[in-house]
Amino acid sequence: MTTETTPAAVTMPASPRPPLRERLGDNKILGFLGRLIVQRPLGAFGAAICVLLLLTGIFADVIAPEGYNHINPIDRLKPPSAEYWLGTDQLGRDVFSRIVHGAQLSVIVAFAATSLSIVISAVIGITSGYFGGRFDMVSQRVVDGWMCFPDLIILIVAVSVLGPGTWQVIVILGLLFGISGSRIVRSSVLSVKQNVYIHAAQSMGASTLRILVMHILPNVMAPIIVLFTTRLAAVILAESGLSFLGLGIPPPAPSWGGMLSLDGRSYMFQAPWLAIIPGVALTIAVFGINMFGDALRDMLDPRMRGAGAGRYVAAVRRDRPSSRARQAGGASQ
Amino acid sequence: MSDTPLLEVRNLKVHFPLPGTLLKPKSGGSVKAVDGVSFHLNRGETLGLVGESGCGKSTTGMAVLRMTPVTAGEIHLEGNNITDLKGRSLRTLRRKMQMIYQDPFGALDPRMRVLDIIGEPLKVHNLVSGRKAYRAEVMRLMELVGLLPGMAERYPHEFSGGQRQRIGIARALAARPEVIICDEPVSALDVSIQAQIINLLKDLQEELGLTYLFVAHDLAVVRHICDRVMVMYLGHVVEVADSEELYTNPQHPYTQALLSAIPIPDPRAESRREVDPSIEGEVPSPVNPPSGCPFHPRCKHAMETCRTVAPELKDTTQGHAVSCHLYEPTSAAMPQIRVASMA
Repeated sequence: MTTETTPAAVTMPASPRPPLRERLGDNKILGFLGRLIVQRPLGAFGAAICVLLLLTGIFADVIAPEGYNHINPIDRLKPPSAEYWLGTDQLGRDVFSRIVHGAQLSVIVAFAATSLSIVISAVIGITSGYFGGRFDMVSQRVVDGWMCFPDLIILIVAVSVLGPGTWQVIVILGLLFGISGSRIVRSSVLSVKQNVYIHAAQSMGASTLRILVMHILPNVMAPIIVLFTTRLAAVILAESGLSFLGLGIPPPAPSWGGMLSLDGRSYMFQAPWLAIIPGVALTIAVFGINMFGDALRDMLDPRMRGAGAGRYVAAVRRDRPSSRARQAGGASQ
Repeated sequence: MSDTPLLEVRNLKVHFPLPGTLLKPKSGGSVKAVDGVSFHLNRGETLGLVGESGCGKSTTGMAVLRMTPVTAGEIHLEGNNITDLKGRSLRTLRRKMQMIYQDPFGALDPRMRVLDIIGEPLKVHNLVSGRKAYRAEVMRLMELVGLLPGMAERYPHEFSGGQRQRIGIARALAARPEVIICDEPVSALDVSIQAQIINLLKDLQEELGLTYLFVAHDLAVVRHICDRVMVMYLGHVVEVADSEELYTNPQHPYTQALLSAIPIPDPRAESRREVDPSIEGEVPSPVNPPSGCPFHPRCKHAMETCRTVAPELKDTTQGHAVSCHLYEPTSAAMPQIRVASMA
C-alpha cells in the first residue's frame, strides 16, 4: 500500500478546499455568475449596470421622490441640493424623479423595440441565408431597397403617418433595426451552413425546421447577442434622438432624449445639469449594456468555457480506479 | 444472405453544371464527377472505393445518400428504387443510411453536448420515448464505441480527434442504419489513432453486422478493412475485385500504377521501389474528359481502340471485373500485360 501511496502523496498538493470555479460549477446560474466575475470583471460591471437599470425601471414609482410631472413653481431651475438631488428644471420638476421614470420608459422602449428587431433580423437572416437561391435574391433586394432610405427619413415619414407615441416608436425602431440587422445574421448563417455538421444533420434526415432551430440558430447566437446588446444601446440613443427632434414620445413623458433637448438645450447656460444629467444617464446605460453584451457573447460560447475543461479533467481523474485507490490510501495514511 | 444485394447502383451519373455568365446563363458544360458507375453492396460486407482526388468516389457516396442530385441512373436499397424519393419519404429513408465524416472537428455541432449529438438521430426519427430511455440508449452507444459515460455532458471541443471520430461513429450507429457510408473516416487522424478507429469499425461490423461503403484513398487502410475494392478513375469504375485478389493480382493498368505508388515502410526496399510513371502528373479535367477510355492519355499500354472506344466493365475471372481493352477476349495483347504486371 505504502509503495503506491508515496508518489501520490508527493505529487498531489494538499488543498483543503477545491478552487472557487469548481465549487460554483455545480449550480448553473451561480457558476455562470462566478465565471463572469472572475473571467470578465468589466462584463460583470456592465451586468450590474443593466440590473440597476432594470430595477430602476421596475421600481421607478417607489424610488422617485416625486411624480415625473410634479411641478413646484417656486423651485424652478434649482441646482442639485439635499432637497432636489439632481436639481430641478424650468417648471420646478425634480430631475432625479424624471431620470428614474425616464429609465422606466427607456427600459420598456429599448427592450421591446430591440426584441422586435432581433426577431425580425433572425427570421429574415436565417431563412434568407439558409435557403439561398431565388428566395435569398428576392428578400435581399427588398432589404437593399429598405436600406437605401436614410433612417431618419423613414422615421420622419413613419411618425408623421402613425403619429408620435410609445408603441409607434417601438414598432418603427424595431422594423428599422430589424431589417438592417438581418444582413449580419444572414452573413453568419452563410458561413455556418457550410459546416459539415449541417450536412450531417441533413443526411441524418432532420427536418429543415429542426436544422434551423437546433443547429443554425445556436451557432449564430454570438452575432445575435452582439446585435441585441449594440441595438439595445442604439435604440435608447435613437429614441432619445427622436425625442430630441420632437418625433419621439411626446412631453411631458420623461424621455432622456427629450429632457436633453427640450429642457437641456434651452437652459444650457443657466442650468447645465439639465443637459448633463440625462446625458450621463444615457452614457452609463449604453456603456453598461455594451460591456455586458460583449462578455455574454464570450461566455455563452462553449469553446470559451475554461471551467468546463477543468471539470472534465477532474472527472476523468475520478473515474480512474488507480487514483481512487490512491485517494483511499491517502485517507488511511 | 439473400440474393438481392442490400444496395445496388446502376449506371449512376452525377454531372454538375458549370455556372454560366450573365449573358449566357447556361454554359452547357458540366463537371462529370460520376459518369456511369454500377456496383452492388451485399449485407454485412465492406466495399472500398479508392482512387485519386477528384475521381468521384466521394460524390458517389453522396449520391447514394441522396445528398447530391443524381443526373441519371438508379439507386436501389433493399430492392426499392430510392432514386426519386422526395420530402417525407426521403427523410424516412435517411435513417437507413448514415454517414461517418472525414473531418472529426467539423462534423459535430460545437454548440451541442455529446449526449445530444449522439442522440439526435433518435430524436429525429422518434426511435425512443422518454428522457430515461433516450439517455440509456445514448449511454449504450457511447459504451459501444469506447467512450466513458461521464463524457456525455461535454462539448465536442473538449475531445481529441480520435474521440470525436468515436462520437461521430456513435451518432451514425444510433439510427441502426442498414448502410454506413464512411467518407475517408481516418484520413484526418494520427496514424496510431487511425488503427484504433479502423479496428473499432471492424469490431462493430462483426458485432452488429454492419455494411460499409468505405471511401478512402489510403490503399493500406482499404486492404485492411474491405472485403471488396472498387477502383475509380475520372468518374468511371476501372476495376472491382475481392480485396486480396486486387492487391495481389491487379489487372487494370491504372490499378497497377496506383498500387506501385504505395510507399514501403522499409527504407532500403523503398529506395528501390519504382513508381509507375503513368500515375505521375495530373488527372484530366472531368469537364472535358478524354475520348474512349478515360485513362488512355496516361496509360503506357494505350492502343488505337483506347482512344476511340470506351471499354466496358467485364468479368475476367469470377468476381474480378476490369474495364480495359487489354482484357477483351479478342485482344492479342493480353499475355503481354500479364508479363508486364509480374515484372
